[in-house]
Amino acid sequence: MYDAMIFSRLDLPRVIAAWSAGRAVYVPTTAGGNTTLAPFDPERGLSLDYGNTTLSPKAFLFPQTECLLRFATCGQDAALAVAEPQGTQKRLLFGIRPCDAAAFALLDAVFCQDAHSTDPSWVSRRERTILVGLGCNTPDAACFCTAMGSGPHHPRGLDILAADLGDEVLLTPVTDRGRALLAEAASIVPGIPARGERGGTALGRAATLRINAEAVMARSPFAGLTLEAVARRSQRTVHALGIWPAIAETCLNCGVCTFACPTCHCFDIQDETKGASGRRVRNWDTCMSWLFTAHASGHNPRPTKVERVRQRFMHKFKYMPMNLGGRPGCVGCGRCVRQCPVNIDIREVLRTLDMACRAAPPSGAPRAEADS
Amino acid sequence: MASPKTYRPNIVAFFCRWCSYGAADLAGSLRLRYPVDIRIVRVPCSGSISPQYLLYALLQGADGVWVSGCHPGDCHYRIGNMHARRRLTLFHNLLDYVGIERARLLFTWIAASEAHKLQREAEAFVTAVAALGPARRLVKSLETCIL
Amino acid sequence: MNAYARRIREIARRLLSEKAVDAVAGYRAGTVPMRARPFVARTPAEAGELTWTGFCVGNLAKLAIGLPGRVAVCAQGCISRNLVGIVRENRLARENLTVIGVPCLGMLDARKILAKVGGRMVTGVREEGDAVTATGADFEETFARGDVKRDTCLTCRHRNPVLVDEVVADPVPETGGGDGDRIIELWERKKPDARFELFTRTFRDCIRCYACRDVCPLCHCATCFVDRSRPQWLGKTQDEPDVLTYHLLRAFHCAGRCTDCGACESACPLGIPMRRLTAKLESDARRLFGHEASLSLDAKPALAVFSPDDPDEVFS
Repeated sequence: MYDAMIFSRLDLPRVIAAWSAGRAVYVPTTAGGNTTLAPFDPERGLSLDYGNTTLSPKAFLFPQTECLLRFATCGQDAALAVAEPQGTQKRLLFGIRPCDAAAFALLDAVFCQDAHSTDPSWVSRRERTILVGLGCNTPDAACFCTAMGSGPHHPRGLDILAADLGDEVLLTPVTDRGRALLAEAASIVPGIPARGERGGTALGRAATLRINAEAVMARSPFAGLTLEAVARRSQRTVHALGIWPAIAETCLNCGVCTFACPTCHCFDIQDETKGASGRRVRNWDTCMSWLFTAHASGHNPRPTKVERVRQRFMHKFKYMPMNLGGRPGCVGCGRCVRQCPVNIDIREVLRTLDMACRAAPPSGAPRAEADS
Repeated sequence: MASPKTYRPNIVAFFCRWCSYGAADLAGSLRLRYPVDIRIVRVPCSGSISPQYLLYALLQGADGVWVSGCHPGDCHYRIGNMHARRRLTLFHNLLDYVGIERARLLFTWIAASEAHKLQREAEAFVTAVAALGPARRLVKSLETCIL
Repeated sequence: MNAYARRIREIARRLLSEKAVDAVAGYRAGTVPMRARPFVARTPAEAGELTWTGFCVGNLAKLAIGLPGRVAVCAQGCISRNLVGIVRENRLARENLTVIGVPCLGMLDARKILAKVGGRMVTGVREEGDAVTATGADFEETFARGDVKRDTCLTCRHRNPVLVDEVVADPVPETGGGDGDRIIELWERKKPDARFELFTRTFRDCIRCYACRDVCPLCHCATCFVDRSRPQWLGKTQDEPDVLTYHLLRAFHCAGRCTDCGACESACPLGIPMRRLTAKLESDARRLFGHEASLSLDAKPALAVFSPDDPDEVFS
């Protein structure tokens, strides 16, 4: 906290302009009812008046379509693979929300599990992308980050956390990279170190905003969600609960929830050829799709939407916590709640799941776990 | 693509085996010359043509797509071409509506005896498509790269 | 609670307690503002959860297809036409279907309401006659229904159900007042280059989640063309030709059957106006074949029939 800086809200575009030297800066922009992170345009200015981006910013680090390599299909060079340059643009994302940054931190654990399985394009983009987050002062009706181990002003995954104090902005560096970036800005735009009495006031105001935002979420009808009972039950028990058909009943099996989700990361790899050349592309895939698990034999281990819907919630609330030391595979951004065409609410699902797990008989022997 | 001078369009033609395909055969027997830029795909009936085939041809880079079947009333399967007429009329209008150049698509009725009509249509179509130049709209390239 | 909701509950409760149906497909309150969610009531008690608001923007015909037994479906004009369509396509037996007819004054577009209040957070919406009132933490604004209706409802031509077994209210004026052909004029007036530019721009944001396909009761292929792998008709990438081809074919597969219910646009997470394509096809079906989709159980879809006198306008 010692090296936080205070800037005038009016100076914020200048701070961002300063950061624009040497990297592409993306800022939240609302147009046509959708909010996206778009290239910073000093002419258009900067609005901090947005809920969250319509889609998660994961596409910046994990594009929906990505060429992995190219090859020739004939001649002497056939099958010669050429690595595609990955993530060469240096960029800064301004105004991503703490939930989305927490999702990046979660995906780090997925894409960089160990030295042998690190995903080069994820790492390359992650290293070249600086994240300046903006704390949420007014979480909306679908937000539930506090239930998922994050919070409206949570710094995890960010390089700098910004707090909008109205007339001023408090920038708190989280990483060394953020510290350097802040120094970069301060050398061009006058800022005040958040120290002494002045700093204390700003830090106090930021803390009040955080507490107010958390209080809003605590008043939500879905406050108090917990994964504790789910964690206590075996995978097989949760899998076999009777709740899934009712949850899946109205599901359309479209991919809105998975594509809008900041933590969904499944992909499909395809080879495309045209004439003498071809490329290998990686595309987002969705477990809601029938095709996701279709085997070449024609067999499909998830034949109906019940299994597919169950998979989505099992992955988020059972498998990922099992693999990531208890962290849920959800950050509570609320996009699936807002955008599901049939309003299947992940919070309600979790509550149903939690109640069913509490009511379920105690898990059997460890053998059951190994079998499932 | 080559320079405008040497540019020759790529045209995919879907011909009904009972009529237009026969007309193309007959054109050969009669030693009628028509442009070599047309690749003919023989289909059982114009009614068997799904718009999907036409879009696939465009995706793969065809500069023009030609569908030809039996005159209304002469379908080997009685009504296949009648269904084709409705379907392809709507489809052609849809492609036109979204800005695919009208001249890239040709729909004709050519009976097995009408080799001269086939020759005429082929020449006119190739000229029209060549004038438009290589297709760009809806053509899949593998060049896109995300940074 | 509004009169429609009260009446729907009444009817549903009666049908379920008399065991006239096994399930009632309707809507219940959403978990977030400006949402209603599809719901299947199976007991008289569950019927008490049914509701009706301007945000019932899905397509219950789609839900009804998958339900076993006898099913009652709440249906506005468009949805009733979809029910006619699925009965005709033998995907639901008429004797297993009870239509709870809901005369419709047009459904609401949450995006339009958000735009009206300048993106401020809406916590609730009240509907009273022609007035729609959006409330938030520090504001309350009232709009005319026509200003915040979905686009599709502005040009609706059949607001009263065409197939009815139970009636929720007296019929309303039959049209939304707008002209369906006006939608396509936006593009038709332009030159081909500009049309293609508009086409690509319209679908630029598409993420291929296929919500538009999956919400639509017209889609019935066991394996959708986008999911086929032998042959693979189009790529799975975000490349423009792949995305545009998907939308062209999806729209075309609805040709002559689309009732313009607008569920595709309402389901789209990015608000893409894909009715620009289906409206063109339906407009052509009206103009060329004098056909309007699924108005009665005896009418076949435009592309399932033909006339020897059909126009030859694109053939030479």
